[in-house]
Amino acid sequence: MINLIGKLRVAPLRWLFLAMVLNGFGLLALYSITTHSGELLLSSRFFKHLFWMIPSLFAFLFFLGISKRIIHKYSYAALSVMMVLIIVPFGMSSIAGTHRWISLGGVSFQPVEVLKWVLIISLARYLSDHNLEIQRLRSVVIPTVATLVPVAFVINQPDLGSAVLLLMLSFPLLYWVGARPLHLFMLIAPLVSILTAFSLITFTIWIAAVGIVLYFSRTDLRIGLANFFGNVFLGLLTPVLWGKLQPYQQERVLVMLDPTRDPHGAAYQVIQSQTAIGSGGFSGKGLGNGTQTHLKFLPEQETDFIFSVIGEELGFVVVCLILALFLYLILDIIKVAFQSSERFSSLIIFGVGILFLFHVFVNIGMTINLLPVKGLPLPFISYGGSFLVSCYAMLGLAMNMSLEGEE
Amino acid sequence: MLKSEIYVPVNRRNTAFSVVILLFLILFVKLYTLMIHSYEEFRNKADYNRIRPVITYAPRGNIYDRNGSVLAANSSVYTISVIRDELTDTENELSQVSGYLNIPVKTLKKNMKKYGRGRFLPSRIARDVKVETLSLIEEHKNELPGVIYSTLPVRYYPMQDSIRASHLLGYLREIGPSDLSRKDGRGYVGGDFIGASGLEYFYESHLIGDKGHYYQQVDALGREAGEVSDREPIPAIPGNDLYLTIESKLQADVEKTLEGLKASSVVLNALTGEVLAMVSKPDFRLSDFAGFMEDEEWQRFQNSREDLLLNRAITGRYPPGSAMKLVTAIAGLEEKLTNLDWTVECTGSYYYGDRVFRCWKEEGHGKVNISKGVKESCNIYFYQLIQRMDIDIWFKYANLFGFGSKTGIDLPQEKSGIAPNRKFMNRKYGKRGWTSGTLLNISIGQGDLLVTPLQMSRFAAILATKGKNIAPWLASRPNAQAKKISFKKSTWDLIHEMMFNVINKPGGTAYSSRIASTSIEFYGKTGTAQNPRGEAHAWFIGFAKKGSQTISISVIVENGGTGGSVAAPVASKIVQSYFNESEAQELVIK
Repeated sequence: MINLIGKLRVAPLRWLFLAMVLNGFGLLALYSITTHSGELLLSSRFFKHLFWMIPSLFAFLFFLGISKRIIHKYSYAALSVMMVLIIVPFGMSSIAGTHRWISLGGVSFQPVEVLKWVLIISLARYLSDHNLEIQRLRSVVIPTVATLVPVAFVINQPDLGSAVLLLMLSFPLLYWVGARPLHLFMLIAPLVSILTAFSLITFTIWIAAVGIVLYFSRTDLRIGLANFFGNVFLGLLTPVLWGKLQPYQQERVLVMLDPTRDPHGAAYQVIQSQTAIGSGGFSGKGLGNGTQTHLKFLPEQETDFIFSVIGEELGFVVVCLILALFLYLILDIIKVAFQSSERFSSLIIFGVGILFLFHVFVNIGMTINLLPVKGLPLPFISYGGSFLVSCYAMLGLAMNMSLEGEE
Repeated sequence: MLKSEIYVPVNRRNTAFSVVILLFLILFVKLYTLMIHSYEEFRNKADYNRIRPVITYAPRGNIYDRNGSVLAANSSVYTISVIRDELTDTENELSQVSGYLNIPVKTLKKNMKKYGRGRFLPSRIARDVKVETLSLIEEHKNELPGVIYSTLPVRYYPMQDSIRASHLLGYLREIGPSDLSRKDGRGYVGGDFIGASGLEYFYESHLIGDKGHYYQQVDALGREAGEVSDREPIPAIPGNDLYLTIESKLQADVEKTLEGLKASSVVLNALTGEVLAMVSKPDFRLSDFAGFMEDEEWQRFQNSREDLLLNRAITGRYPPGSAMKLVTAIAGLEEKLTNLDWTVECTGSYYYGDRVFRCWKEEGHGKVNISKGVKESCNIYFYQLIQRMDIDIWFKYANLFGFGSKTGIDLPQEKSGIAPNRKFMNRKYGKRGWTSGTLLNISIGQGDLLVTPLQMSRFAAILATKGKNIAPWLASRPNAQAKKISFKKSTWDLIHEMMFNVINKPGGTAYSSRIASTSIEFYGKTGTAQNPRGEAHAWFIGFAKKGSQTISISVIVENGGTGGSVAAPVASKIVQSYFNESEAQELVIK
């Protein structure tokens, strides 16, 4: 306990302050949404969100106070537990057509939210334990492949947003820890090969680029050739496999990649979200006056599209303020990660920053029709218990890791 | 274990910084585009989402007679609608309402579908609902959530009990899909009523007015959600009123006189072309059409009593019979082919080639000149007269009086009838298929000749005014100047004298219909038109003068018998009725 107070004294408390301010904007939006003709029910999501701040602050203090050694020691065990928990929802009845939630006595939580940062810790441990071999391709391939296992389950929940996030997490961490850009390139190349395979011209250009990169990198000839022909093979195989799918299966995949293909579903949502934000203008329509929000044209307004509510009611000024707060928080986290003298800590702090960045960019990008992927909430602002607790836990974790030489 | 001697390279930190800043810059630019640059566009989109224009209906223009009495006005009927989303138990509620209305549930459901405009908008299920029924529904409104009532504007005919004028005014009908696409620019919507016949049809765009709008705020599901304060409603512009030349009292009298017959009569102001009365029997009550009519009911109406909807005055085409002898007589006089001295011997029959043509008087008229020929309507005289001319001469005169072409009255569906000329005969029978013998029938108004009662009344008006050919009209005075037909004064005088004698001299075919009053001069000609469908049609055409007023009249009673015994008395009655009632009523219509 004394340890915790000591930590609080030296930790970058500005992060907590930023988080609380952002949280306040979330509450403001929820207050506007859930107030009907001046009446605010105790069962409303505004109060629920307010209530969730209590366990969130406990989680924050817990992960701030806990010893780094313990975190390092039990990271793989925690990952194993989360891998099991991610499978549990498949054995339960689906909620809203998905297997994302575990329900226990009226409280539901999404294991994937916790899995995200447990994976960061585990990757940090693996990469810091193997730091001397980081220049080798093997050290890069193993963590990447290891993340594919939970990704496979998450993609089937289905939660494409989180799956992509999990898949992408290892790359910035590898980069941060000093992996060769060539190796990262070789990891990402197969994905690009699959995506470009549908057009002969783009595929040809891409394969030529792969060849040039591999040639000038002076990599081992066998590895280089294997990589090159691997990509060619994948690109040629993809259209064949694609053709074997039934049209409705193809459509399902395409809608998952680009939800706006479904004009009654996501396309409608994105149009209404853009309309809400755009119609907010410079100063917004005023809290409680958003017609898109209050006449329910805007879907999922408490969770995925809460940013659109803020845009509509509070306008460009507040939107920019929120962007600035997030930008400052993330840059500051990266700065602290850079200053850290411990590789394990540095990786965790950086990972948390990247996780926030990913959520912020994908969520806001979705509301303004920049990105097709949906389903990632906005940190500290979107309604949702497990995610809010996770965000504060990550913040506590990052602050904990930022403290030098306490033990 | 935790310590590491290798720090993160500075360039990797800087790259990370750059990527973060770049991503935020992308978001910023896109947000700027949406919220500042395209603000107007999205503001409009948001308004378009939430603001729904609601139609306010324009009242249709009233229709007045020449004295300003209202023939057609507007009133409203109660309707019952349901809002599907608010029905808690559709089956039960509908069957309850069905009980009150005495309308089968099936019909209510059909209407619900027909007039449905979404789950959250009222769909009309019944109209013309009685006040008692409304109070029943009001009493049970707690058991009937989603059932509402409102009013609907409909036509109302205040003088209905004395004047039907059903063909003249015309009826309204609910708009069909074809009208919705056809009448562009008028802003018709489903459920609107449009003029389907008569003046309502002809003056549709004059009467209809322009719909207005007010604005309502709706939510994403289309439910009403408060007022829109920042948009001015557009008020509806009522339709223009229509002022007719009709003399209601006369119209009522003519309708009463012809009641129970298949008949038609047109009375014109001979000097101005104003239609004073236009009657076609049988007719119907327009209010029956103002009410709601099921499709099947409408079909039954149309099929079983097709006659009912027919405006005989302008669409009925009849052989004119002896009334047409006047044309032949005028042609003879004008072309100097006959005069008072030229006589023929009528023995009751006339041999032409191998055929026998008969006079209506079996024993014959004896020695007949033109005066007696017209007065007593001797066929033989005209058989002989027509042989002194050819079809071209005869047609020239028939054409002058407007036979074979429309009068141009402001009513839809007017028929032109047929006045046969050489071209027509050649086309119909072939160049050698007809002889001048065919003309014998035409001379007495039979054969291929077909006329409408309106044409006949107009013919009488031209005769009355000695050549002033004015187009008959009901609401808009024709632009074209009246064409003057110039004949010799002696021709006009003789025609007038002969037509006077038809009524006022013993032996005249309409002598029994003469008017005792000396202030009224009554002229005419009877006709008895043979037709293949049974009894002859009884015709009378003529004109009457009193003081400065002159009216023309045509009467036809289908299968009524002889013109002298059936049509002439009707005309006589109408004339007396008009002049006795209309002292000092020389109203000029704006």
